[in-house]
Amino acid sequence: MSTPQVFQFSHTPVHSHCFSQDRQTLAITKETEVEIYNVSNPSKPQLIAVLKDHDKTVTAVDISIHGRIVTCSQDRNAIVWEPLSDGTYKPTLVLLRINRSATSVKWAPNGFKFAVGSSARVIAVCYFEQENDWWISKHIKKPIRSTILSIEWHPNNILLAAGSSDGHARVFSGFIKGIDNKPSGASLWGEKFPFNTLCGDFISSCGGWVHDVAFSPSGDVLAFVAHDSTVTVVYPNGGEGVAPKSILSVSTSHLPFTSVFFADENTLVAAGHNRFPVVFQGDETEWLEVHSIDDPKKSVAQGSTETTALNMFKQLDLKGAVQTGASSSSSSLNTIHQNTITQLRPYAFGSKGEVTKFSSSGIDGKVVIFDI
Amino acid sequence: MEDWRRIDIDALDPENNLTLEDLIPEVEPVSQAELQQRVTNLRTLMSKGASKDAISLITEQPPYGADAEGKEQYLNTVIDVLTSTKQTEITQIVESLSLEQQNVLFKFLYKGMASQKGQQQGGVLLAWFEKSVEITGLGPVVRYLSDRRTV
Repeated sequence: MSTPQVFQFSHTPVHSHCFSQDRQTLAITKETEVEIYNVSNPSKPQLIAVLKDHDKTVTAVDISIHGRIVTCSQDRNAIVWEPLSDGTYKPTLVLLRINRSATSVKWAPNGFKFAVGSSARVIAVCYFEQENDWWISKHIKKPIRSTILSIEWHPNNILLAAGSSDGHARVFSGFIKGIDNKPSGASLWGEKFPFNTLCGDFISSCGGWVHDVAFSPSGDVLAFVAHDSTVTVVYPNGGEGVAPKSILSVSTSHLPFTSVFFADENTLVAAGHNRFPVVFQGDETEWLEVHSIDDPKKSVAQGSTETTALNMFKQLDLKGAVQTGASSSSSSLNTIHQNTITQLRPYAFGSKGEVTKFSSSGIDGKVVIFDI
Repeated sequence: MEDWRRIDIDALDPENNLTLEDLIPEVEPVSQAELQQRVTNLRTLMSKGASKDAISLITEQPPYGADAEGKEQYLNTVIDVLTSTKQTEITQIVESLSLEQQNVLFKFLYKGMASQKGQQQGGVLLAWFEKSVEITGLGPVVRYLSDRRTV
C-alpha cells in the first residue's frame, strides 16, 4: 500500500472537491470562490483559474464527463462554467428559483442535467433548454420536510437519491421529457417514473439526520450515513410502498460520518467527523465494519515501538506543562486529516470497475488520495 | 432598525408544516400500569442485588411511549438501580449489553444528569459514563444527541 498523496492548498475549509474525468484538473471550494488546479504533476499543483462569481460561501462543486463545472452556493445560485479553449471558464447563471441556500450539486452521469439540493426544501433538477439558451430547473418538492444535504444520481440518469435533515433518505425520479429516454419497464425501484415520483423513503435506525447518500455501481443498492454514527444499506424490492428486501444498519463507535460511497457492490467507504475513512463490507444479509484506512490507533502503535530513553524523558518532561506553539509535533492529530472530512469521491478504478483509489477533502484544507 | 433577521418568514408559508411530532419516529405507547409493573420488577431485582439483570431489563424496554410524568418516575427508579450497582461491576455489565442496549443506557445517564435526583448522585453517574465510554466509544453519545425517541 503506497502512502496517501496529500494536497494542502490552504488552511481554509474545502467543503467540496472534484477531479476532472482525466484526473488532470482538480476543483476545490475556497470560501466564496472555486479554485481550479492542474495536478498533472502531483508534487506541484498549478493554479490555472479562479471562479469568482458567487458572493457567499460555495457549498459544492462538480465536474461533468464533458468537463463542464457546476458550482452552488449559499447565495442561492448555481453557476455552470463552460471551459473555453484559452483555459478560462464562461459562467452561466442557472435559474434555480429557491429562497434559501443551495447545499449540494451533482451532475447526472451522462452530463446533460444536474440536481441541486437546497434548504428551501426543494431539489432543483436543472437542464439546458436550447430554445432559450439557458439552464432552467424543475422542482421536486413533495414530501421533503427540511433541508436537503446531499444528492446522488442513479447510474440510469433518471433516479436520484437525496439525504435530508428531516432524517429521511429518499429516492425520486428526475425524469425530464426531451432530455431522457423513457426507462424500459419495471426495476427494483418501481415501474413508472414520471418526474417527482417517490421511489423510496427510508429512515435511519436511530433517527439521525442524513448526511450523505450513495448508490451502488449497479444502482440496485442504496446506502446512507446519518448523524447517529450509523451506516444504513437498503436493498429495494420494487419502489415506494413495497417493503424493501432488507434494510441493514451498522452502528459504529466513531463520530458521525458525513460522506459515503460504494467501492463495489459489497464494499462501502465512509468518513466524516472521525477524520479517517472506514471500510464496510457485506451483502443482503449483513454488513460489518471491516477496517479503517489511516487509523490513528495503528499509527500510535508504530510510534510506541520505537520508544527510546530520550522519548521517555521527553514524556516525563511534558507532564503538567502547557503546550505552546502550533509547530510542536505533538499538537497534531494522528490522522492525515486534521479535521472533519467533508467529501469522499472515487478516484481510480480497477479492472472489474471496483474503486481502487479515492479522494477526500476536509475542513483542514487538505485533499488526499487514498488507496483502498 | 427593526430586527428583521428575527422575523419568521416561514410563518405565512402554507407548505411549511414541519412540526416536532413529524420528526419523532412512531413509538408504542406505554401505559402507567405497565410502567408501574416494571418499577416493581426493578425494585425486586435491586433488593436481590441482581444489578446486571436490572440494567439489562432497563435497557431492554425503554419507555419511549410513556408520558412525561411516567418517564420521570421511571428515571428515579433507574437512578436508584445505577447507584446501588457496585462500581467494580460496571465494566462487566456494560460489556454484556448489546449495542442497542448501550444506546439506551446512555440516554438514561444523560437524562439522569439533567434531573434533580441525578445531580445529587452526580459522582455515580459520571463513573458510569466514564466506564461506559471506554467500552463503547463515542457512538452512543452521538446517537443520544440525534435520537428523538427519549426515555
